[in-house]
Amino acid sequence: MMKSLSIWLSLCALCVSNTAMAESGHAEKMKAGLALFERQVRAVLLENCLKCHGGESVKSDFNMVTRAGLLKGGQDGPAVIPGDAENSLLLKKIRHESAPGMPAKADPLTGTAITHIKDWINAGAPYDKPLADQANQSVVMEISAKEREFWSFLRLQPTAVPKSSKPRPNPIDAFIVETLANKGLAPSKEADKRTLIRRVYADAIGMPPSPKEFDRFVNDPAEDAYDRLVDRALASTHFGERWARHWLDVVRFAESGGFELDGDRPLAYRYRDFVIKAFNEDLPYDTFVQWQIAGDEIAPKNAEALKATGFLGCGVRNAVITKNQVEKERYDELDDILSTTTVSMLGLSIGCARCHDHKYDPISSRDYYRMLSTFTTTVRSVVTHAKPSASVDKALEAYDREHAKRVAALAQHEARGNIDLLGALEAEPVPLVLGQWQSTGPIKVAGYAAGHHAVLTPEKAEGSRAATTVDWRARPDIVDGKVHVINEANSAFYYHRLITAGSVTPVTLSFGSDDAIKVWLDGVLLVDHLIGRGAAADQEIAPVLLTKGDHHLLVKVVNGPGIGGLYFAVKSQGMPAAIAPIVKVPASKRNSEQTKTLSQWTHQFDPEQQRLSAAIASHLSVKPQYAQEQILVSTEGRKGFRPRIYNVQGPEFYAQTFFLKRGNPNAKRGPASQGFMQVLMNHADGEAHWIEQPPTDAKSPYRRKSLARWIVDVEHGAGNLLARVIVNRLWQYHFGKGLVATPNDFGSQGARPTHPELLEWLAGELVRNGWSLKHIHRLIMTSDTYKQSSAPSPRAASADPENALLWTYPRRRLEGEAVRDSILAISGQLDRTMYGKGTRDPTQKRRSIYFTVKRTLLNPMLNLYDAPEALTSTGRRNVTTTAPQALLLVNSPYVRKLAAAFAARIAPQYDSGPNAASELFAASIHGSPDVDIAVPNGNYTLQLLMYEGWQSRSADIVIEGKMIRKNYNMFDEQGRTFDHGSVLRYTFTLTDGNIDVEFKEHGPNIHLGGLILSKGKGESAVSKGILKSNSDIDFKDVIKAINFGETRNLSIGNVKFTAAAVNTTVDGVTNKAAGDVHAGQFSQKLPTILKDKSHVRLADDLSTFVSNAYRFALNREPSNNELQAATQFIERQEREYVAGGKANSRSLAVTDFCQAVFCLNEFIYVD
Amino acid sequence: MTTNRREFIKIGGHGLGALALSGLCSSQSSGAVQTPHFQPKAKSVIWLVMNGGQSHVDTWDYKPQLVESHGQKLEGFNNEIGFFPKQVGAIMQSPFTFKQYGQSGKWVSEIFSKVATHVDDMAFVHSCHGKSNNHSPALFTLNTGVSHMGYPCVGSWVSFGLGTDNNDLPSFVVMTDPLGRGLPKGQAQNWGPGFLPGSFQGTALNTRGPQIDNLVRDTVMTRQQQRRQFDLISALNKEHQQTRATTADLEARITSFELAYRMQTAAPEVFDLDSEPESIRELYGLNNKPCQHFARQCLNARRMVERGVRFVQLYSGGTENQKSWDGHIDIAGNHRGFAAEVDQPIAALLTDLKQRGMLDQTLVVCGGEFGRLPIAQVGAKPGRDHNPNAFTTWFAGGGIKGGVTYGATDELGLEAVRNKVTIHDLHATILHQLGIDHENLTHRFNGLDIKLTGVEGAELIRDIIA
Repeated sequence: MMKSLSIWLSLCALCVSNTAMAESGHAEKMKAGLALFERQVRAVLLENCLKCHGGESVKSDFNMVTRAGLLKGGQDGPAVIPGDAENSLLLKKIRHESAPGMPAKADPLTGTAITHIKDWINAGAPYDKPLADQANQSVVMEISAKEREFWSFLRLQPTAVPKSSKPRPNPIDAFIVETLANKGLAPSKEADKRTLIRRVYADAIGMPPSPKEFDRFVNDPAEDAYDRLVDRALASTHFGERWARHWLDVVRFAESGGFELDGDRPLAYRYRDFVIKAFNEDLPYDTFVQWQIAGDEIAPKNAEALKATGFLGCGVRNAVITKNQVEKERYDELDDILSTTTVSMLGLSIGCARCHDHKYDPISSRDYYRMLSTFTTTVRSVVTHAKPSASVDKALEAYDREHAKRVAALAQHEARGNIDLLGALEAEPVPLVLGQWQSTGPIKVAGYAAGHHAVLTPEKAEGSRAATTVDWRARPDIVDGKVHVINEANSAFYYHRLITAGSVTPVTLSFGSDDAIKVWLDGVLLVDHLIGRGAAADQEIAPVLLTKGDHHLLVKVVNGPGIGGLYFAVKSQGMPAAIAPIVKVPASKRNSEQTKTLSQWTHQFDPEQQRLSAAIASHLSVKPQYAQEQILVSTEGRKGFRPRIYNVQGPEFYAQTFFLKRGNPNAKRGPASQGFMQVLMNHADGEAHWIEQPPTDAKSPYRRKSLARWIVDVEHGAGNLLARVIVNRLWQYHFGKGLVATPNDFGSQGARPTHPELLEWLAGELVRNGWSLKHIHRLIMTSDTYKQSSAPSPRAASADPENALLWTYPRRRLEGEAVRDSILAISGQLDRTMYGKGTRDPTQKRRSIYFTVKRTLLNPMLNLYDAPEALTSTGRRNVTTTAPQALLLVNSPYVRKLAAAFAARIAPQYDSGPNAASELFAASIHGSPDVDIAVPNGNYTLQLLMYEGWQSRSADIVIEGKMIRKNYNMFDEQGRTFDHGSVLRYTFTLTDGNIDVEFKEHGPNIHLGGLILSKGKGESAVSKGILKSNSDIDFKDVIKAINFGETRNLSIGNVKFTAAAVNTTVDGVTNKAAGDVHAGQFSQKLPTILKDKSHVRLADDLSTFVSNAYRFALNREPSNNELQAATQFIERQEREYVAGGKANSRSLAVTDFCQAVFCLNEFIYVD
Repeated sequence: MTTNRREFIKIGGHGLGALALSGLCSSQSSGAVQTPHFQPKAKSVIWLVMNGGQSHVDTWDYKPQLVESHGQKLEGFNNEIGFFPKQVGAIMQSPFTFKQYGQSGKWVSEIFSKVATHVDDMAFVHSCHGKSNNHSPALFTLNTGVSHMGYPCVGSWVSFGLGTDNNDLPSFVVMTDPLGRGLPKGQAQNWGPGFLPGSFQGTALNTRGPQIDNLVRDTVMTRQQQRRQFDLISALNKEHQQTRATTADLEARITSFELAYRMQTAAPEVFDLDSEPESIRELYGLNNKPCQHFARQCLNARRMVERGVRFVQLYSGGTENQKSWDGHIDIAGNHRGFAAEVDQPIAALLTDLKQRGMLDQTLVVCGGEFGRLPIAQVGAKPGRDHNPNAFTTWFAGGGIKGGVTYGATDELGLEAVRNKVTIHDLHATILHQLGIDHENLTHRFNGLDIKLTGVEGAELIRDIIA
């Protein structure tokens, strides 16, 4: 100890050598000074001075972190003259002798503190060590003017659109053409319409256009046909689904925590839904960004803003943490949040500043920790939020009107109320006179309940009088305040007495009974209690307000089995102590409080008031409610959401974020207060310009809101970079490569823009247009640059082999999601349901964006196609081409199944005559309501064929003898397989007008495998019903447990059917008909039936298969070569299937072909 | 697209081999070495992961002092080293006996008596140490050099750097426990490609059914019919290609279908262990119930390496606790059981590689994600808790010196004390044997040039290199 102290002393001696070295007794003085510093002064300086003078900022150029800084002083000269406190500026400032007094905007230091500082200065003002860690805390990394002038950090530059010889309505083209011209190049010509619509669909929607959508555009001769196509594509709800996927890559979206437990976050999909909706509705990008950082602080009532904060919370988070790792893991989590924020929004990696100042970019470690502190107390939490609903709004309006009526009625009544009576109340009431009890009974009843409900003669008398028609006997034996025993079982008794009040008086009556009891006073029912019990005091309490005079009290007690009883007492008379003084005050002089108290007291005597109150309460219970929605938010001041935690031995978060030495939580260097990236701050007030103090009732500190304000601030903050980064991302996804080739790196190591002026102009255009992303999409997609053909140009290719200057449209391969979605779409299997919880089932039929992303169990198909691992931001996906991708397409049973569906869909069926009806059903079964079909009038037969021995829960659907669908899964989850063949057969009539369809059940002709096995008895009971085209048809109950020989009435929607199960005989062997056949899940929408039949074609050969497949998948007719290759292929495959004894050889062969179509480069690459 | 062509060529140095599973990429990646930096000693790596954390003091790192101190309290022990701070017991001797083997006289535990016969071909590094006492971060570190998810596995780096010598098989294959005991913690992230193109991820063989997904065509089709389908795809794609400007990407995709077709044939052949002579099957222990699953995997590994697969990683044990080497309870029973699963197959693998002259070119690496404490984890049958501060990794073949011991732990085996070796050092050494300078194998990602061995630096374990 001594040794280290002497080292300090000698160091300090060196420090002060030029001032006080020679002074005698110096060492002792310094020693005393040091002791003062350590014990008293350091704390005062740390607490009151350091923040502005070296801690977080350096005001007036005065940095007191080191002694040297203290002596040097600031703008006003040296702060301390060692040994001379009285002449030291520091002392004058803290004594407020020199303006401005210090500390600024705070209470002055205490006298003791000032004395300590004075003594310390007089002792030479020694330091034992700096007040703060210099490496991180005190030294603001100097950002040079040169660094600030790096292109991406600059303010947005006004950019003039280049003038060109040929007028170019879209400024993008002016920029592109100018750059090309400088190289002696020119853009390619416009692509043909087919290429354009496929490009627009792939790009904006991620699936090819249907033949109908294709025809609509290609046959539209209008000049603005293309622009309207772009508008339609951008307005499609599929647009948001397509583009949300891009953003989800950038923000490392997944729905589980990763690491070994990889716990699910079941509500994480709300963020995915937010992004889809935001893109569809063109939420301004600045709002989009701000909500993701601080939606809960900016718009706490807006569910979408809450969902947006899922951005902060969708990163990895370990859930198995040992004690010594808790803090490190929290810093890891904060690092994930901050790094993702800066990379995704600003295109800057900040992560390496965790350990040291950024090597290449002007981002200091200090910036890192100060920004990191933004998220210090941010946690995941689940909130329940009312879902906005117009219908509930409307219902609430009506409800509120109704409710107001009830409230008004009560108020009106209370205003009259019993107040009138109160005038006559006397503080000292005249005691009651209680007449003698008389009773009648027993009256035999079936039991106490029956007797209670029975209205017997004694209770029919008006005003509860003792009716003379009844035999009353006097009961002096009934004593008040004691239980009177009734010996008769299953009997009703009535008790009557007169109560005479000498003055107006409140009275509380007490009753007990065995069993049920009713009490009337002057004909008003006071007590009505159906109950079985033993009698005791105070079981029923009835307050009444008696007027002066006689009152009839009638009590009915109904005893069940065993003995019964009655109890009565006057519990109290007169006013409670709180009421009596008020009553004495004349009504006109009562204050409102007194009036209110009095009124409330009278309610107990007022059945009408009670009725009206109850009406209000019961109405409240039917108040329309908004549906509640649970949202996973990232917020503060709420309970955290942590699924599946194991062995976590510490808190979820810490109250403060510290500067860490080389990222080590065990090497803290003082707390970090919030700041932003210096290089992107251009305001005299520094971070204070954006930091917003939270309102007093706020649960969170508004640090995230402050960051959000800075990040979109185009004038002084990071908004310039924010705009550049996002327009570059949009450009990249439209053209395959950004104007800056490194979308996640806009720093010095990143690529430079190929078209800096264009990028600048686009960023400005975004800001000028209210941050509308769709505006930028539209600009890009309607540009000639985008519309260029991707045709070769050897000359341009030699001048610009990378196509950096965009002399052609660069061909791109679809991402895995788009490949899968396109396959589903063309095979008619796509389920277009939007939003909501996803699934990991790889065979689900919704768009791929609805796959639940579980980090340790990524979707194998998307994984093969370069989908990101969702661990860190992916700005641009890798594009690999591998054999496993090919194997998936040719061998995966799932793809094979889709190929079979596609094969069924492209069966030649655009046909008038009976096949048209088949088409109608085929289309409806495939769920394609957008297919218009012309169906002639006529009778049609629909058969559901279930084959003997068929192992699956399925049936074939046959219309007019034509197979519509093989092996259609019609059975519910419990459905068992069935052992025997069976046929259900219906006819339906299409009447003119083409809309209404009439169904009839047709008698059981038995078909099996297309053979008529037995003739039915002809038409049986006809049931009628109407199904409108484009309406839902529900086959749910078509087939349900039909037993051998049984005939059942079933229904389709509102149409009734009869179905039968009968024997079949094949080759002399009789099979019993279907045993257990269960209901199908078979709900479909009918297509529109067209009156115009002009487009109907007749065809039924292989070339039609091929041609249809090409139209669906590639939006074109096959060339002769292709047609020949394909038809030959199908023929050969079919021949071999036939030779191999396969049933359905044709459809197998066509399936093989369809699968090949999925594998075509033309299907997967976008020209 | 011309860029694709150029970027393709940059990585195309993998040769046809890489095309099989990875090479046809057109990506942003760069920094692949294409050809080794220097003459490689090893062509392939077989990495045997003793999943769950093998106890070094009960296997390879002989500590007679434990017998002396058995039952004594370990003074000054920091209970945060292990996973269960409240189950700290006394110093515990190994339940196994040790004896010396080979010319080098290496002390080895009885539970590895078969592998022990190879000690003169093995190099033991006793001074390995890591930072995390928790399985998944420790496994991530072992595999990727980083304790969190999202970084490429060593096998991915190697595939990225060198590709494979094989046309029809993946370059990086992983085999996990086939007995239903689960995947190692962190699951597929342990062999993920991180930010490298997805094609560099390890191919984990299925533990049930076909080893590789989608290798089997629909049963309804004949081989001839599927060949015809491939031909149609090829013909139509070539037709399409003729009308397009640049074709590298399209060509690559056409080729990928051909490779796919070949893989369908080649892969089942690799896994056809019936074609091995009975003597070999016997050697590995295919007929020996406790070890036959691991024997199959070791034999598979040899067959794959023989066919040019670059990197094979093999996990012994499942997820955790008694399903793996994670002997928190009953270290004796746990380690005896797992050693019985691997001792014969690993010994056989070394024998077999050597007799075929393959050991020189095949680097065999064996170890877990951390070691275990020399004190007992209290319980009816005492176990040992995690110990990231000391564990043993051994090497054999692939240009490694035999009969060598490097580094040491303290006398109890609590901490590595001499010639300490980090996991980055292990990685650097593995890369070095494959002819790669770890400093020069980098990938640019989000603005940073990232290396397997990180920014802290790493050193080769020169003393074990022949």
